[in-house]
Amino acid sequence: MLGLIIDVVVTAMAVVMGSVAALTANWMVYAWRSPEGLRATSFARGPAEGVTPLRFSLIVPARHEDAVLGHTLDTLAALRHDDVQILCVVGHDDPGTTAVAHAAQDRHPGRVEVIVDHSWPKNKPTALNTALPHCTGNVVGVFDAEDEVAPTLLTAIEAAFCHDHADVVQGGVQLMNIHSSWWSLRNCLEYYFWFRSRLHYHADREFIPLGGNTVFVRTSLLRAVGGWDPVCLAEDCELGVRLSALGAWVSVAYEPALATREQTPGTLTALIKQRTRWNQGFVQVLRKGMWRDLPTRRQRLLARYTLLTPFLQAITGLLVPVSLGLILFASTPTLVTLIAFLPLLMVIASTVIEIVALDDFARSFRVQVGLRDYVRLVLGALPYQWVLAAAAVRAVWRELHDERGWEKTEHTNAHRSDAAADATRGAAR
Amino acid sequence: MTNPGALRATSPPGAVLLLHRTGSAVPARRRSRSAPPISPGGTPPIRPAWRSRLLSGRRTVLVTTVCVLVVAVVHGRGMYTAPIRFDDEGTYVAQAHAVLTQGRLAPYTYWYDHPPLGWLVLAGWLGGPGALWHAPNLIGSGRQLMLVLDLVSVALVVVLGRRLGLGRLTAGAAALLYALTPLGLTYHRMVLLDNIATPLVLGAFVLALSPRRRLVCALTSGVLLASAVLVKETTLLLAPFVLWTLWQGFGGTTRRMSLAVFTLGVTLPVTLYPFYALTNDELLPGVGHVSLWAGIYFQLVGRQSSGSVFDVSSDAHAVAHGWMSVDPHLILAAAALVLPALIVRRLRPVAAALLFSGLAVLRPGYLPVPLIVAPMPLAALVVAGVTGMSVTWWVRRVHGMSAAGRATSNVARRRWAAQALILVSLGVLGAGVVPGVHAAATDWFYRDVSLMQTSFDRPYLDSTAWIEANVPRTATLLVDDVTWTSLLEAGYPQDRLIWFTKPNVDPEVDQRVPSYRSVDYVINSDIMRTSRQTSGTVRDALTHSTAVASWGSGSNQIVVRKVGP
Repeated sequence: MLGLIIDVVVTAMAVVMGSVAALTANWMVYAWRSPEGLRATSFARGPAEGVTPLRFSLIVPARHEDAVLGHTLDTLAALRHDDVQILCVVGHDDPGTTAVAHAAQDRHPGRVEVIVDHSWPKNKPTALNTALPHCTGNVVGVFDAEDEVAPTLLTAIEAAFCHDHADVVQGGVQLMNIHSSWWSLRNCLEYYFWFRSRLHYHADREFIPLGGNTVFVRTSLLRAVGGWDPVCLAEDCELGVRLSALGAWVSVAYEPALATREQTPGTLTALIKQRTRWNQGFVQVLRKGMWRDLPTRRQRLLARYTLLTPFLQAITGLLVPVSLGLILFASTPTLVTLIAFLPLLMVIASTVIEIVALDDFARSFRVQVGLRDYVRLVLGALPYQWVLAAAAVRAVWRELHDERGWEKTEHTNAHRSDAAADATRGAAR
Repeated sequence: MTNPGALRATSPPGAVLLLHRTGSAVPARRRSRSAPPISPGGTPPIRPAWRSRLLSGRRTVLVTTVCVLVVAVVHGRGMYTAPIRFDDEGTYVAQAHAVLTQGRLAPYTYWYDHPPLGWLVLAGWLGGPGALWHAPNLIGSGRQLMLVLDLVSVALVVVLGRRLGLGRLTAGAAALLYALTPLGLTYHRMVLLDNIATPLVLGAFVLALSPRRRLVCALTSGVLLASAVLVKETTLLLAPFVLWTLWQGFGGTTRRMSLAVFTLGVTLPVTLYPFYALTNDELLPGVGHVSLWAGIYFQLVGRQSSGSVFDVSSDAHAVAHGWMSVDPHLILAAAALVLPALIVRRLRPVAAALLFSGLAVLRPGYLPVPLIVAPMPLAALVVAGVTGMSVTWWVRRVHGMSAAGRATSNVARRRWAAQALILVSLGVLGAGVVPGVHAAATDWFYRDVSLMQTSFDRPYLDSTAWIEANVPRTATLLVDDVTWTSLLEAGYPQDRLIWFTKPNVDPEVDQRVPSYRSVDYVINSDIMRTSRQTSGTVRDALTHSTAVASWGSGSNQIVVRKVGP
């Protein structure tokens, strides 16, 4: 009897884990589904002539970011586009950042404006909402204080809005510091898969959790829906889900040269805190239930699955050792053992896909990748899964205890060259 | 010109959305998600709309249908009685039967002779659709599956031919060559693992040439190839050529990902086989149990070498001579055209695979008779492909010459050159090709008709009937694999039917048959006479027995011998 129960449990676990892994792998390679499909993910959409000119309002919420903000505002001010308004939102209790912002305003008069946010408690959506009434452009874009933005991005975004008749355009974001630690490599690769491939799947299914920056929304639409949800911990995802449910047309476009470059959180603890916030945000979005308004069953299923993914991954990450133990130590029938072997095959498959993607990432972003990195990639798979699982467990715990404070990610200039960082510091002084 | 973007800019999108929400206005569908953007390299769009694809494919569908129907008739008529049932057929059907009735991979200990997917498929057929279709015997039921698979292969040869750049009629000709050569008709009717692997391999090739280069096709191609390997392990030798085809077919931005996914598709399912052995503690050899290692070692190294094909006294020569005596035409044509085929880029991997298979025949080592099955579709494609392309080239050349002649002032000379080319070509055709083709066609016709009308299986049918009437169900019989399945069907208990290859090999059998004295009858067939796997018990039983009945003559002779004291 016990044997039968073990068999059923092992089989069920293997089927669930195998399916989750297969689905994830499928989305990981979505962009490469055909050369034609890969082309469709790029910015190349149509002739540059006849594109309707847009005025951009770029909001940069900054909190305790005096180390990086100055450089970011300089890059944004230098973007190759004539009609740009840069709104830097700083807290009234944050004199350091405010000083850096004002210095930038003085350097770029008419281009950079500083808005002091007096609301409390402070978080990103509140800052964004504070800036929204000041936007004079017909498109609002969001950037984070540490972002390294491509100089020609806005022209490409403008073309995407025009050719796709889009309500929202999401550009690419890429973490760059793969060499910083064993987990930063996997963190970077996660971003690569998400923006290179996965988001395009969501756009094509017309259900998309948006990214936190390099996201552009028509101002009128953003005002009509009342801006960002001030209490949501994943305001970007929430906005995407809400707009998807309203039937907005979201365009996703990716080109390595145009991706906004960022850095991973500085420490593993910071990563776990960041993930906890996102996971909690996902739960909030799920509970808020806007996704129920999506028109098709398939979209609603995708929404439910996507928002629960961190927790599914946590469960599978924790189940892998259990499953391996049962295969090794419990005497299961051959067929059950073979089925239990399937998730392991999927892990191998994912790892091979990751290796190919790392190579692809290295080529497109001109990053040096060596044998050491591939070894880290393979060996780090399970530990990284456990880190994410820890964040998922923490998110559930916090949610159950009604702890919904905003744990902010600290930034240094790890994704920038040292010279650039020094220049920023100089500018900040 | 009105710019739709400009129009939208004047009306707030929120308003559009709200109208949309109340259902009174649906926003016009904007950019289709799948619409291909303007390609930067100016390459023409690869994919026409599915409608026009279907229309342009209609004549190919017609050619395929005709081929399938013709082959269905020629293959189907007489498939139960010709050729005579072959020992491997008995083995695989018996193993499929064991899967169905006993839930084991073989009626005897499974010893990793081949991966089991082939007879698992066969078991699925026998227990499923095959059970609804009457057949004269178990092997006949298996031959029904071979008919179905052959028809699938015929269709796939046409599609593969098209994707390799062959014209519609040439691709159809390749399919007919493949299925109607007497060699094909003989071996495709037999219940062989190679025949189950063929459509899988062809499918892998077809998907490796996916016109839209879809990743899912690369994956499926790999999985099909893996399935073929799990049916017949020797298919692994064709893997590099499928990979080469894929590399050719999947040029462009997604090539590396496609190759990776293909490789995963091949390797991951195949690892299930050693993993199965591992879970049974049968991966590595040990005392008192079979192992995958020993099985592979036997197939690769352990089997007695058949000698060199060029040594007249060798088994290999006999095997090759057997093939040549059934159909020398396709083999010789393929041998002649395989090198020219290497010139054509798209035919190159297929031709190389054929060349490689040919070299495998020439190497010393064990040469199994069904080895001819795998290269047959490749040979048909190479022969039809090179011939078709040569004809096209010749027609264009002659046409081009006369056209050029009209265009220039030097009309007479050009016309003379064209006529000379025609005359020389006609001379070559008249002297060599036409008599050759005529001889082949005549030969094929009579052999195929004979395979459709003659009952080569008569000795087996008669001997089985005699045994049923004269040998009690309690007797212990030493039989070949074919008679084993027939007598099992006739109700003889399985533990008293002994495969002649198992005594002194399988300990399980030795408990039941410790010596020849436990045997009552030996049913001696050509399989037993020519086998190298006869053991001491079998030889003893043959010497201590007397013939009581006999059917057929020569290699088809079957003798029932009663074992005496």
